[in-house]
Amino acid sequence: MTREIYFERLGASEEQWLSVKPGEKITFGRSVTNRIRLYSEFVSREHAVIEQTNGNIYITDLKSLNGIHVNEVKIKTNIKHQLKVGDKVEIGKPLDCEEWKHLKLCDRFVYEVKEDEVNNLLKRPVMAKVHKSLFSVKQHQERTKMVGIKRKQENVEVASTKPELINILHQPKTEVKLITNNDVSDQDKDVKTQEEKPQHPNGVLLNDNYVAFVKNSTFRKLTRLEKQLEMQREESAKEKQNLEDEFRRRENMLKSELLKYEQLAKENNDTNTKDQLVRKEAELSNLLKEMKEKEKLENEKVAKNEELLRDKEQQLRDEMMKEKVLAQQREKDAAMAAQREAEELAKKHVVGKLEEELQCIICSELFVKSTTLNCSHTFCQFCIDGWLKKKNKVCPVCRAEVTSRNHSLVLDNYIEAAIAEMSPELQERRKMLITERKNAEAALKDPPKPIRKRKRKR
Amino acid sequence: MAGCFVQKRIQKEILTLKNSPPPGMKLCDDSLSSPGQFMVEVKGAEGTLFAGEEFKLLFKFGQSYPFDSPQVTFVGNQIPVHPHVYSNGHICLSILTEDWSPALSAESVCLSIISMLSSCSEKKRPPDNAFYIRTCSKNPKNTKWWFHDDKV
Ligand SMILES: [Zn+2]
Ligand SMILES: [Zn+2]
Repeated sequence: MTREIYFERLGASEEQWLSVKPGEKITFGRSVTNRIRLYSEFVSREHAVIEQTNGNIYITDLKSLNGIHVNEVKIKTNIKHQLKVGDKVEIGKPLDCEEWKHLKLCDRFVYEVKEDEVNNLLKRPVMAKVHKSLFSVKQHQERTKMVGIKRKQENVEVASTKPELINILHQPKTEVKLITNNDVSDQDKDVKTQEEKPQHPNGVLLNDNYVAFVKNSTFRKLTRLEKQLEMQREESAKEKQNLEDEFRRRENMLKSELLKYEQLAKENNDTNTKDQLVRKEAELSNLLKEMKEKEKLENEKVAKNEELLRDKEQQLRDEMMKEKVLAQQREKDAAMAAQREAEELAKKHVVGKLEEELQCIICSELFVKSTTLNCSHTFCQFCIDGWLKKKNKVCPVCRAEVTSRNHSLVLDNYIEAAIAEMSPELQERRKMLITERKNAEAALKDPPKPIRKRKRKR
Repeated sequence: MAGCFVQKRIQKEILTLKNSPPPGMKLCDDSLSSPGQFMVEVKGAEGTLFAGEEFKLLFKFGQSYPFDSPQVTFVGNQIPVHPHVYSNGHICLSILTEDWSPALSAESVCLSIISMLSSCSEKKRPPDNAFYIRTCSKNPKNTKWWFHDDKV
């Protein structure tokens, strides 16, 4: 009776087995390319390899993050570690993780090295290709969302996020918030209340709210997409599992038949049996070939789907960015329009006040060379001079005797500044007015005793 | 040009009379056609001797307006019978000559005239009416007024 050393996953529902043939390398890890795929973020992409040399079984840690423990002792990385029957091998056990100790075996990746007769083994199913951990899967879902956020913040690829993941698990209350389903529904609420908020007269949602609104709607799309991605992964993993289970069953059946015929052939040495043996062997190799083919196809399908979804994700992110820029632009425009409006209004107001307060009562113009009398009444220099040439040297407003007149530079400057803000037509008019006055002043350049002259003329 | 200079001032006065005239006053739109002058309809105030009567005042603005007063006379068939108003429409009012100030306007002149009419206690012509209208110039501004008692 031939005996065979094999591996069995502890905590699995069925007693599945996996043996290592001489020269064969059985790899364990998270990525799809491994012989045994361990579906957990605590497992590195390429984590461990088991091989047989001269009847001895060895395991090697491929510089994984969380390492390999043999009988609770962590083995050195990158060095072949010999295993013996009865050894318990654990793959991907995070250091210093309190929760780990309380996990069921089925949520960890613990394998025992066992030995049994080949005939017994053949009655049992071969070890499944994918091993899951309920704990890992749950965490994994959160991780996907987490990484989504992280990526959004830092624009880094997910490729190797191992250190962050450990942090997240060990310190769940770090500044990074895990998004659970509750959070998502909260966000829905937020969006609703924001939609009810008052709108800017120009039809633009107010500032931050608008950006938040856009961000949230696209963000929700993203979250949905990521969920979809995750579901697809699970589905294809399940499908693969089914496919493989079926193959394994057929393989086992063939193998046991093969074994039977081998023994028969040994005992009887008859050609008929030998023929059948050859046929069965061919069938087996065909089956293996078929299996490889199907697996390849499945992998390709998954990769294609993932790529498709990733493209869509990127598209959404781009869209989100564009929307954000657009919203900011709109916000800026609205703010500028409002400011312009306010300025226009202020200008109008100032001009109106100016017209009222800074008008010369004699000519009804804004003061030209404002001149203030001793009684505090102000006129244009031209206007008051024109009046004072008359015999009555009194203020036109209060009839107080004029004893002094002073030029008011402040008023002049203020009026000039105000006029610079007015329409070009008004500015042109003002220019004309000033030139007119200058000319008129030059024409009447004999102020000392005009009164008597005029009297005589009368 | 002085005409240019007063343009805005006269325009503003016309606008004020047109848009927000004081009670009892109305700018005659058809009088706006000739530049430098316009007519204002004046109503005698209620409760006075001139209540219900309407008169027309003609304003003529000279080149030196507003340094010089405008020429203001009653025109038309209705000339109020008043001790300061001659039958030819000339008005003896100090702000129209000696007491003129460029701070005054057509509106304030109208108000003064209405107030002058309102304060009248007896409808009669000035005592020198007959002599005055024979000798005066067409322009009342050329008259050297001997101002009548203000309390008429
Ligand atoms: Zn002036
Ligand atoms: Zn004064």
